[in-house]
Amino acid sequence: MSALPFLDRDHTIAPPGYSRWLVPPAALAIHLCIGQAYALSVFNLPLSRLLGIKESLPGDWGLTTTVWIFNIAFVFLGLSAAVFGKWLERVGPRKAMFASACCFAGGFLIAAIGIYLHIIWFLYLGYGVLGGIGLGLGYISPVSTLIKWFPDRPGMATGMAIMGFGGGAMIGSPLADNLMKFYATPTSVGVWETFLTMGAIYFVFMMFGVFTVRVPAEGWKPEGYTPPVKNDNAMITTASVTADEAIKTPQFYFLWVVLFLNVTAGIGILAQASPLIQETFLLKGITAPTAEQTKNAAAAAAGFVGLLSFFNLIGRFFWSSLSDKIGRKPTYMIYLGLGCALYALIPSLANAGNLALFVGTFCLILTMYGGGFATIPAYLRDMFGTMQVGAIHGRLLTAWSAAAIAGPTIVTYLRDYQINSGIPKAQAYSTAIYVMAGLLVIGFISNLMIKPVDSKHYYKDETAPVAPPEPETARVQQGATA
Amino acid sequence: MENQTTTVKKTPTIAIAFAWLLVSVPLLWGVFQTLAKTVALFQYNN
Repeated sequence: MSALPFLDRDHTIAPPGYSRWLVPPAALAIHLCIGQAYALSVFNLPLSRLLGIKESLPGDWGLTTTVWIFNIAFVFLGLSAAVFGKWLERVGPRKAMFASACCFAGGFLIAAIGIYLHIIWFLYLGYGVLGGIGLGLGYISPVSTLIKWFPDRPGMATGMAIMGFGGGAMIGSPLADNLMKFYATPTSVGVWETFLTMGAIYFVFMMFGVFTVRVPAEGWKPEGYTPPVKNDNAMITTASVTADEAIKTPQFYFLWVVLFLNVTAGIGILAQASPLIQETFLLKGITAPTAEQTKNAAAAAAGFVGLLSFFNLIGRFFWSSLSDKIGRKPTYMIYLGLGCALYALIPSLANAGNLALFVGTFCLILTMYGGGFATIPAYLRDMFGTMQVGAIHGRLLTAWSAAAIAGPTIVTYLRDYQINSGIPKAQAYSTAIYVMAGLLVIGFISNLMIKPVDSKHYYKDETAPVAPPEPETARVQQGATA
Repeated sequence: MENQTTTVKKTPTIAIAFAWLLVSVPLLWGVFQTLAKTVALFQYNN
């Protein structure tokens, strides 16, 4: 018997008449909160002035110290998603979302204590480790449930949730900014108070998702939806593959490579977007910019980063919804093929000095970066079925953790190498961008290699306790609404 | 065969609208805040 029975899967089975359109807001409530992780850089400067307030003192933390909070959080995102995926499938989304909220908000609380006491390890263990586990659990918790509620539109459903993760940064950054201004005093930069407040706000908001989410009853299907009796698309399986079996298939590794390379290319550019546009366009040809010019360029570059974040958000919903119509494999062919062509075009656009085309091209690229994240759960569902798709998705997210380190490292290293070789700053990103285009070619080939999973991997033992039955294969329950 | 009639209580539309409003308001606020920053890019002239 569970200590908190209302969190058990049995208590979350939707009654007849429950609308599936309540599930995406529940998922969004989680993703809009945990997406804050992408806005962590808003604390970089204040965290470096905890002692000095107006400027950094010798005992204050530097960027090389605080950047590890982000790195640790994203490593633990990938690890927890991979490790706890099967547990999520067993206990259901509500308990996983609750655990995610406790970890994520608890991470803020411990980090706030660490900031107050000025002990960096509290931030590493609080926001980094505990918060990172909350990120991983929260990211995968609604995915499998959404796919089961929307068998007719799995791409759109998961796209909506994962769009929330992109939106979370857009909320987290100005929210933190406003709270720090509110709490700032002559003796405090207001960061620990901001962490405490954000932890409380996010916990309450995530509880809305926890108490709203439901799993479909056995045999439920949307009104008017007829599951295909005989599958006419070999790329969409009607069978199921367990998470342990999935990692024995080549399809899992091809998809891992596809996600890794698509994210590496996108995140590498996103992480360097501000200096990239300043050095390539905004301050091009200005050897000694004035304070006013530097300020204007920084503001315009922040606008560029904001624009990229917006298109990243839009792409998550647009491309994943489109993938329901044109199929997952063709969608990734567009991401990787068109993406490669656009990357290869960028140095020419920069040389031509066409800012509008340069910005527009990057915006389109970022839609496909976001789309890559949002479409992967549906691709996994097509390949491995719905039975343990959450757990398989969790394991695949290790590609994201790896890319979060590889992408920025490649771009920064190649840019520095070119500048040290005497190449002007305005052209210092060309090699990095061509390398990213090359990576997308490898991703394109990897996607082409994906074929239907061999039937020897299909799940056969129907007495296994891990997974709930698939809605498509079970008795149809009447009364639920679409 | 005996006909069985069951009363199905459908989720009220107002509940669905409230749920969507609750998540849309902060999202739209965040999007607005972000897009407001982009004005500096379009007005840039050094």
